[in-house]
Amino acid sequence: MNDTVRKFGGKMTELVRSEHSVAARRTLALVFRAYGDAVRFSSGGDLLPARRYVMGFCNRKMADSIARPGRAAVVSLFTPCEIFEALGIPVMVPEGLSCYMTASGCDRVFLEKAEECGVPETLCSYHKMLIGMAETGVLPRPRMIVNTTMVCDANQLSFRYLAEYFDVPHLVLDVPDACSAGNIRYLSDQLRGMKDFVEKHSGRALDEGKFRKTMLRASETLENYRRCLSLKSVRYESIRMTYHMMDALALHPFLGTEEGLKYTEMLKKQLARLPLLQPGEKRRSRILWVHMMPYWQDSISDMFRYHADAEVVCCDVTFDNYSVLDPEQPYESLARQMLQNSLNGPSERRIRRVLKLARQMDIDGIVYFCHWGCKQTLGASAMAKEAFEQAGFPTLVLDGDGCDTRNVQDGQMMTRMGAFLEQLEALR
Amino acid sequence: MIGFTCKYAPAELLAGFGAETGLLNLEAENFDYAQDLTHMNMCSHIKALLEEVHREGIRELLLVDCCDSMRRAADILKDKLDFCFLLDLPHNDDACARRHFAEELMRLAQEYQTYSGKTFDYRRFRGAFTGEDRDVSRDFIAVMGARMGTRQFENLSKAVPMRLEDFTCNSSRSMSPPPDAPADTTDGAHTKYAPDRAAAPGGQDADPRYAEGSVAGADVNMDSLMEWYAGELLAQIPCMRMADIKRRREITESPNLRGIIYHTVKFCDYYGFEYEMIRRSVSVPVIKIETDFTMQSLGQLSTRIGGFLESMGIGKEAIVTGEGRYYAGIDSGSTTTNVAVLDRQGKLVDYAIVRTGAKAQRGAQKALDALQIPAEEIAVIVATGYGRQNIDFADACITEITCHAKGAWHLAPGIRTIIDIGGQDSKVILLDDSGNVANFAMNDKCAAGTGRFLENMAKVLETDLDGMGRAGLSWEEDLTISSMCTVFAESEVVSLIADNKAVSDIVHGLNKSVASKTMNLVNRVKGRGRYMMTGGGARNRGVVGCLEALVGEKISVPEIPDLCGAIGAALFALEAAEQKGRDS
Repeated sequence: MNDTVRKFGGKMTELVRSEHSVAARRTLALVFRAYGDAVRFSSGGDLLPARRYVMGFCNRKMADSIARPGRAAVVSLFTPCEIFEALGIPVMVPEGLSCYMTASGCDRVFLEKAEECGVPETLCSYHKMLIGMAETGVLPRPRMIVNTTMVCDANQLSFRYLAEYFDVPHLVLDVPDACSAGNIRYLSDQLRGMKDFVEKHSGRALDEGKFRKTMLRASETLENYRRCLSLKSVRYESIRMTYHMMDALALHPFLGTEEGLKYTEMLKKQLARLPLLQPGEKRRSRILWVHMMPYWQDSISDMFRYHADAEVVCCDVTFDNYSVLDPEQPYESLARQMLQNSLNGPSERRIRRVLKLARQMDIDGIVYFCHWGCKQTLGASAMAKEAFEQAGFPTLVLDGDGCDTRNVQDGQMMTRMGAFLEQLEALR
Repeated sequence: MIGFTCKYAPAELLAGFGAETGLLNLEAENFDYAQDLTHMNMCSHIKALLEEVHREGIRELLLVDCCDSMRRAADILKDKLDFCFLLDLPHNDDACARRHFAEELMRLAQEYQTYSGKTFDYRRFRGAFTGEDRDVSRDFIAVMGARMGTRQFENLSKAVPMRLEDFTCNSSRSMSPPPDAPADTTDGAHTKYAPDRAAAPGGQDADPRYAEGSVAGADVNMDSLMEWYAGELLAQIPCMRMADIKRRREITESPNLRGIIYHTVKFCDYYGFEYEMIRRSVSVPVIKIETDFTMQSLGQLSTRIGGFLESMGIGKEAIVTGEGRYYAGIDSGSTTTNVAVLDRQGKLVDYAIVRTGAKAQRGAQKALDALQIPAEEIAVIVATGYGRQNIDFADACITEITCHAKGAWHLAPGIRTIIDIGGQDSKVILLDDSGNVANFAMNDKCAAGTGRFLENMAKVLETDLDGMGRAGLSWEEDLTISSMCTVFAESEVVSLIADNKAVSDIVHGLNKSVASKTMNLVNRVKGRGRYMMTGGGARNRGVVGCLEALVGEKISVPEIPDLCGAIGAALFALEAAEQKGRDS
């Protein structure tokens, strides 16, 4: 975090503390847009134009989601947003918004506010931040809230809290663990109910043609990203950790958008033009990152940005399922996509998926990131490490926090990561 | 025995197969075994469960996917046990969810039958329903929130002189049994059921858990029975994991509810949310206690429970008074033992502050010995502080919450919020217009924000607490210690020393950190002016200054801030003597 960001964060914190929350929100939205546009239209550097484009459009969408009260829907990361996209309703997702607050240097004021309101300190900090933003008045009143029960317990808590706080309609999609035909039926019926719910509370009718087109774009986006991954398996691309998280946004809440599709098409073409890794060529250690990334933490991200010997090739949460979307059966295929998500259900499913990705991407080592408060990830850490190492992938279990800057220990993390990279270097 | 952990676990179904079931709910001695299998920041109950399964040699387990941690526990245990079933519990309670849950119950019946080779018997199933054993028609205190360890609950029952009703997440099981003889009993007919066979999932939808099967030899139509049973299980008072929790109000709206002991488990996030909502909305006293499913936190808990009972006006002991002209209060803290002696006019005539050492009783004796007034001239001794129960020569014990309130109000009538930073506890006490305790909050087991935290940091900085108190006043650079964990903060301080930062600036950063942590407690009780700061922490002008900046007003500090609790205790001793005088 550079001095400019730190100063900006300080100013935002002052605005929030002096109860000028609307001014803080407007300033944040303005700066997100301006920064996104500045990156998108900048030139030079190693960054592919596609990466600059994704920063531009994600920033714009994030700014839109908080710009005015009563417009956006608050959703969980795995809520299928194609219905919202087809209805033209912006979405706000805690993981995205919280990362933006941390990157803007103003996380503490929101996290402290949430804790003052009695939110447990051990709650996932992404969700804690969203509650703090609401309680300080920076998060505008949403139009509605829709969340799934999958992957993260915090969904059941923070979204209910926000629905009561703002007194807005709230829908919970109950996602079972297994992908059986009965469960697809159970979930697809709920998704039809979600469509009715969104229509009712937005006053807009879903145009089936638009919905099919959105589904088609989502399907093509996923197919493009699949191709991007296979291109990256034999090519080197210099990117900062930030852009892996941008991919997570493009492939979750913004899946099905025109911008998301355009991004993956650009990326596919531009990756294809990068030089191939040559057999026998000394290469960087190729890391697969499991779970969210503390991309704002300079000490860690700089190790990959500047370390000549290591790169994070991919992250498992950016692309967490292999299911194919069928625009002709939108509800069933969205249900299948959620049920088959590698983060849903037993941890062995995620472990298998990571191993498959690691082999496909020619990975040298795996970093398993234990984000504070994420019991799903913490709980499986010992099993995952054992399974990955048995399969021949050295693994580092790294404790940290995806967005709470108060809750990290730079020195410890750097030592662990540094030693792990040295271990990989010695093995090559 | 098949162990289970949750009120939604279909124990009666397994009993129908002749299986013995039992609730696993014991605290752990330590988490050595669990931490080998999982992460130290996992929910403490799950770590205790792993310990219990290991320690008791449990081979069969029925788990419900209550939460992320429980799902991971199932992942960890499934290959280590003979039978380990994870039941997929819906979050909703509508017709679709009940149908889905009935399918899950059938899946369990099939898998258990395959594993055990036993047949289902309706009479055994029916006989396993124990019915409602709760009585809310008389005054009671509700224990709510997350499950409480069995031994902890037993201790609580002994400490509270009123009936406790357990409404925690694994104990509020309440279901009526099914009819004597259901109309669709098939009397031994072979009842087949395969949840998803009709839809025949194949290819990418195939899930090995949904293989063909049946509940052979069942003497009842299992389909309809499981639909009824699913409905009954889901109709219980919901836990916080369920989507619709409105029915939980039945507990707090009971006319005979006198108080709520709200329990949370370290690293379980579900119940902190409800506690806040309840605290703001109910009129009966509420106390929150957090445990980590070990038996090591009883001292702190007894203070909180004692304070809670005192705020309800129950549990106060009649004080037996002796002869003598003076009245003493002994505050037995983790670091120091403080004794205050008052005369009949309530004037402080003597005091002593000594190190507590390893034994509270010995520390208290040492404090009395340090007085100039001889012990035989003391008519009544009231003990307070975490070691109060261990001082056997004290005439009565009162919690430091109530004693601090008493002492502070005596020292400065009109005080509304007391901030006490002691050795191992930080607490904030809100007083009403008469000086009674209106609310209070204490730090959890974490040392951040306590005197112990500053003491550790003083060692790192190679100074003492007095040195830190002085150094923090002359800072120049506004450093921030960001870590909320004591251990991490220590590393951060080491890094700052390595960066050649001035000690005074580091101390200021630490003071801000303590003030910020304490401010959370102030906000939790909705603290308001005038403020008083007591305890050893109040000697640190730097911390007081940082807190003044946060509360926005001057904070009053008594001349001897360590003595507030002991003065309060001595005032109780004096009152007891006055009462005795009136009675005689």
